[in-house]
Amino acid sequence: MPAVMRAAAAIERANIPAVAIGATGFEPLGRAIGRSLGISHVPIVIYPGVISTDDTGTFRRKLSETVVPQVVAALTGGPPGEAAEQPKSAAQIPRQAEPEPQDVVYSGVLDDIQSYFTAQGWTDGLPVIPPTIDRAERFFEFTDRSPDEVIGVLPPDYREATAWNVAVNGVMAGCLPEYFPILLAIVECLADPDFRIEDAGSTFGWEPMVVLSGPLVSELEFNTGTGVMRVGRQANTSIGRFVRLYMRNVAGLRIPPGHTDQAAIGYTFNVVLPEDDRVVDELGWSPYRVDRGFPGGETIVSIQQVVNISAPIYTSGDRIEHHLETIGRLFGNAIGPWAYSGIVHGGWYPLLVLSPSVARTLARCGVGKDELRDYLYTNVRAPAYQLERYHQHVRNTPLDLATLVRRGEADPVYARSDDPERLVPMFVHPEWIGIVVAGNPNRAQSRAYVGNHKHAPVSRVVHRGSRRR
Amino acid sequence: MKRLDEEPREPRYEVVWPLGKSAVEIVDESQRAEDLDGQTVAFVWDYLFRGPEMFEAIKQELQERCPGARFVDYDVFGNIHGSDAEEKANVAALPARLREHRVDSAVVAVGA
Repeated sequence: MPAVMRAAAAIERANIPAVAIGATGFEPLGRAIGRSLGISHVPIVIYPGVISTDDTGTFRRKLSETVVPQVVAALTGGPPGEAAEQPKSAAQIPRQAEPEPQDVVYSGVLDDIQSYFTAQGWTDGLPVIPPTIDRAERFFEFTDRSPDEVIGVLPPDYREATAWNVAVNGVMAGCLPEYFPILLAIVECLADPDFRIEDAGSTFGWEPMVVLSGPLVSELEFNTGTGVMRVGRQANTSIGRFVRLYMRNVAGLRIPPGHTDQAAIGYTFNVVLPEDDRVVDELGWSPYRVDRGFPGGETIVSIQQVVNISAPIYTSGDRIEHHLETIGRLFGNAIGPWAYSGIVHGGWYPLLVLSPSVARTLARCGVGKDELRDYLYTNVRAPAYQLERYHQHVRNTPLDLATLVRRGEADPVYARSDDPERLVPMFVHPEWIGIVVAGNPNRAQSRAYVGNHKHAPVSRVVHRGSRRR
Repeated sequence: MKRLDEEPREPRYEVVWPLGKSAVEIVDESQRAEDLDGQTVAFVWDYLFRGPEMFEAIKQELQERCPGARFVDYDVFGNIHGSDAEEKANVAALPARLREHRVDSAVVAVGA
């Protein structure tokens, strides 16, 4: 629905009337995005039901009886069911007064604050630390940036992301003021067009994951060891919570009521994944920040989207091929036929978290990050038909990998033969596989994080203020 | 010494707004035709969810009601929800392509 509304906005800006079509349940999202794009007058015609699962007869009947009459009415100025909800021109639209950044919007005791914020839809369902001016101002002791600085504008609500509201939401999430430079770098990433936050409300229900690499990991006492991806350590947890809270409050991604997030099921926020620099140094491996193209002395945040996580990948034995084979098999199992999305859309960046003992074993056998990536690219494969069939399930349109290859949109390796059972690579490029060392140092376990399509990881240097204490 | 009937005093907090200023720019509504006869209708697709069947059904119905209507198919405009680069390029090119084909109104689908 967001893509449909974005195209409708481009069409309306060209002074050509547009009509949008969506399925039941997507109207609130369409209307919310329409408001945010300034086109809430655009009629949205609703297909009643689930397009993917209606049989052909039902689909055609619904088109004839419901959709087509609404489209005709909408094209000729009549309302498509629900009336268009906006006056005819921008000048006629009253702007609802909203608070200034430092206006006090409510005063009360702790329980009152929680109730008020919950009623306003400004919490993630958990209690928040009351965002007082004093608390937010303390964050600015750790940056040189001005509270008024606009970092970007975040869809679907198209609100300004400012240093001030980063601090306010950081307070609410339970972050310490010392974390503020990290929060600012995170929001720079969220506002980067390559992150595509406009897709964050898609039905896939992907979740951002922040990887932190550099000296601040130990300085701010992030957990890099046992239970690294569990809630429990303030730095990892509160910053992970901040990301989702900020996407709710400033980007405007909300589950019902009034939802703009269409995650069909989704999952909860990720805590920050910090890299274990000591092990990386010991092995002589490049740290994640260097893999991302940054100097080793900097701390960087990197954000990517995650749609699912592998089973725990346990490996053992003296033979390196046993370790590699098991990592590859369980990584591949986690990806499954979803691999189609990386091939079709590009920009697909799975991430592998190696516990220190697995990393040591690989290094001892002469397998570094590049060798591991090459192994995974070469050996993790799936039958072509599974990917093509799953594309049909997800998008309700056919996929023929051979056609993509003929059009130059996929590597020839995907059409070496016309056998539907032929095995094709599940990773698009070896260099797109991220590798981070973290986790329980006493257990040989890895985990793979499977990305959403189109989105590359976005990274920023964390800049600490010169006035910091 | 604290009296038993004394109410404990909870601190009060004065709190600020966690949102940001709206950057929405309102687009004026385009003029819709009263009658589609002689009009050109474009179909714009995100390459999802049975769009061609849907567009064909709409086209047939409109042709019966308005024999003078003309149509421009979705393939002229490309995928508005493909790869990142493809999507951005095709959406940016929409106004020019619509004008090139003298389109009067557009149906955009399928949101689901």
